[in-house]
Amino acid sequence: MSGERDRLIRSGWLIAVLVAVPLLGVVDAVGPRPVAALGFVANLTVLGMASGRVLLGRAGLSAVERATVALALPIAVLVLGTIAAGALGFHLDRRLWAVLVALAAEAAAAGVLSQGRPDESREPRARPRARPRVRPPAGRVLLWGGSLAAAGGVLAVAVALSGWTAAHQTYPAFSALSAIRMGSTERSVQIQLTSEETAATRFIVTIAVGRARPESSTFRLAPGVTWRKTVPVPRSAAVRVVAYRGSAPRVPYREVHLAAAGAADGG
Amino acid sequence: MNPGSFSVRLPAAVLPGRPDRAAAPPAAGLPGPANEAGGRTASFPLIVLLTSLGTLAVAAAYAAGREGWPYLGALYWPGLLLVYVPIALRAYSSRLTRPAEGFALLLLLWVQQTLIFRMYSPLALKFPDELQHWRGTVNVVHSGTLDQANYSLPIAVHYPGLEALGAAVSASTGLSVTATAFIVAAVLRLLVTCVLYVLFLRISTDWRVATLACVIYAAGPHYLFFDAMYIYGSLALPFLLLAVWAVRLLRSPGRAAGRWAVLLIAIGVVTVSHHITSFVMVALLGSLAAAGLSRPRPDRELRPLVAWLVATAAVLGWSLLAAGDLVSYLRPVAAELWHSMAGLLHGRLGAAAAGAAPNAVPLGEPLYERVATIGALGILAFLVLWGSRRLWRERHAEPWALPLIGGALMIFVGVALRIAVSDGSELSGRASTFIYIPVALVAAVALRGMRPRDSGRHGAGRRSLALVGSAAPALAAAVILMGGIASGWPPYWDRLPGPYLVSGFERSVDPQGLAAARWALGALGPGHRWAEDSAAYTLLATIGDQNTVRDVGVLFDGKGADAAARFFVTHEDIQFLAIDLRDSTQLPASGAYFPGQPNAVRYRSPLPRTDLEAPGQVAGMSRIYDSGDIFLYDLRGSAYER
Repeated sequence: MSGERDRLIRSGWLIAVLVAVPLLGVVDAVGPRPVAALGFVANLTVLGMASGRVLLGRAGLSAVERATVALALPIAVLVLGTIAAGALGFHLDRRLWAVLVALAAEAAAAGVLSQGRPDESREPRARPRARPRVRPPAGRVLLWGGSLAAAGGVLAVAVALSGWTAAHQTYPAFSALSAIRMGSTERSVQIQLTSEETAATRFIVTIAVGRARPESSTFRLAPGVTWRKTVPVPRSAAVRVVAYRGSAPRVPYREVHLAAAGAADGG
Repeated sequence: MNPGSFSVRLPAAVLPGRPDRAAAPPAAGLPGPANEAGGRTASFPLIVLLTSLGTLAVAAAYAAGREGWPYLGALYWPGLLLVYVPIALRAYSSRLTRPAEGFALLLLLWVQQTLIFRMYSPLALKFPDELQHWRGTVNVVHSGTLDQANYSLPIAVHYPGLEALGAAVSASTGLSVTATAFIVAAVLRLLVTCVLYVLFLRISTDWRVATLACVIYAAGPHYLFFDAMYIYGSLALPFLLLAVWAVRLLRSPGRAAGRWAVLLIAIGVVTVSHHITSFVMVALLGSLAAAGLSRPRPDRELRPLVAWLVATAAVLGWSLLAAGDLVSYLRPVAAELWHSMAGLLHGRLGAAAAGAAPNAVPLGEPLYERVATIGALGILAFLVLWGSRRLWRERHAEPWALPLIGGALMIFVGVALRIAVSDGSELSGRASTFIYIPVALVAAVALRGMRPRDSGRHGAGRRSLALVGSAAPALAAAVILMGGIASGWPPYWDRLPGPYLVSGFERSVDPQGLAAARWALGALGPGHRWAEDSAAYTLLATIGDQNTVRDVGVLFDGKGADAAARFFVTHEDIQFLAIDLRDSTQLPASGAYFPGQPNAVRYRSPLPRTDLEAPGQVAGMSRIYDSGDIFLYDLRGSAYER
């Protein structure tokens, strides 16, 4: 790659990057989410390109090697920097990562600037001879464009098919009934019924505390909706909750029960 | 070839195919291009289209699995082959004349294989190993620290590299942890592709060999699924390769300090990311150090020795100071290996070795998959022997030749593991992630030496032979891919997504189990001790953030709160019990109903329903959750605690 095409060796570009990195870091730390993500990704990109340049230079490395290092180093900085920050007792949050990435990117860019023009570009280069531009035959352009467009379409169909069937995969419908004692003294019980039926369903829930007469609640639940009720229950009393479906009001559908304290001792 | 001829000739973009060999003419049986440029440009877009059709076929097979459509599930293997074989053939072809196209093939393979992997479950993480690291990453994001307990994979707290990376990306971009896991895993897979290529290129100095080796590696048992997951091994692997690449780079002139820095960074990331990979790194650098020292004095290399010392110190220091639980985590695996070896001495092999019941009913994979597995191992073993012979003959003076050949010959150790150890297919599959690196390179060296050279005018008989010869690479590529996947992950009953399976890993992740796990976390809070079957073990520990217990069969034997059950509950401090009545309707797909069950694969019929209902009859038990199939019980204060 010629010096003219390698923008990072121009000090003007580098100074612009040095100024931009802290600004992007601020955006990353406090900006609204989509914009902050751009700052994060931009600083990671600077970090990858500049740190690879500082550590390995360009001479003797292939383009794939440079790209590989540019991909690996930001990951390494995030991993090792986060673990170091965690070990030092810092709270790991978005601001810390914004500062970490910005500092590393700034240091890397400054490192490139301090190196000046790399060795391989100091010597005067012969201006590359302009290669005659050959317009590819129309048939080849059509073949490339058509094939790649078709491939993109095929992949889009594949992804859509997977996403759609995964989202609509049918599983057996169910509803979940639960009861737990609440609070430190466990003087109340929270009862909860969540419907994951295929359609809105009418439920009848009976709650029996100790030997008292059960009280019932009737309600209709749409799929994905939860019904909750808290009832006062002494720890010494057992609780039995049964849910029935409106379509079969005599057949218990779900049942939970909480033992009274000391029930295992026969008390 | 003298040792000097093994020196690096980079940058790669200008590497010739092989200076000592003229480009081979077009393969027999295929129409030749009008000119070379025409041949180059026409094939790549067509390969892109063909492989995309393969990916679509796999997507259709997945959809058929989910929806229960008949016949379409059969598209799975043709789809996979349509993705892999054209790329493999092109990488092998003498018409591949540019490094850029070779690397583009690898990027294409990355795109298609990443899509194939993710389309299995495109909307949520379902693979248990991924869910474990999802939990770890969620913990870091929520707590802001790296030391929050991860009950689903306690050792991961001591190797927090992936969680650190995932949390940083999730918190900085605002993406959900699930979306972050998708992206991070794909980027790490891309990094593996790139590092593998540049490492192979540095070692072989032949971009054709590097391209072919990467394609062969992509047919490894765990490459398509397991190694593509959001798991800590996926982060450590590319940095292991990067460390070896940096050691190799140290041999060529340039900025030594910067190369050492890259090496140290890579060693650091591997060390804090994954235990097994860090041990492999020490072994690998150790073999390179030994090879460097074994050379005569003027050529003796000390840099690999220094790299090995640094890596050893880092791994030892981290294991002793930060990962004290490592020994207890690895002890069961070591014990299993030891028992298997002891069983081998007594003449027991594989499933009949210690740990497996003699009257076991193994869930057999289809015959064609077994044949493909054997065929793939046979082809690779042949190529390894051929390539090793060639490498030894031509490059034995090169210091890396011996470690490379030795590593490639480890394929036979993998085969032995598969045959001799009771859990051998999983162990050899895990080992293949590392063993296939030298295997792929040596096999590629062998293939480079046997590429078609002459397709001139023949008589009719010779032309037929040439046609057969040109079909052989396609067949070999198909067998290598099929055999690799058949011997890796997922198992044959898990290849397609579908309805709920008992103890079926990702096939056991369904809305009912997820709802129970979410309820447990929301209603009870994290960290309670649970006994449960395999499916609940995964979901309660990851989604539910509960402290689940392994090998809990004693609570499911239908005897209620007998002495053994009471001892187990008090000894393990178990507070809650999860029961799934579906365990009484199916045999366990993976062979065991309960995690860590020692006598797996012993069942001839599902668990009796009465056994599953027995705990509910124990005095003082509270059934706190009922979703039809899943019952959750509170054991506290029950007869189990008496």
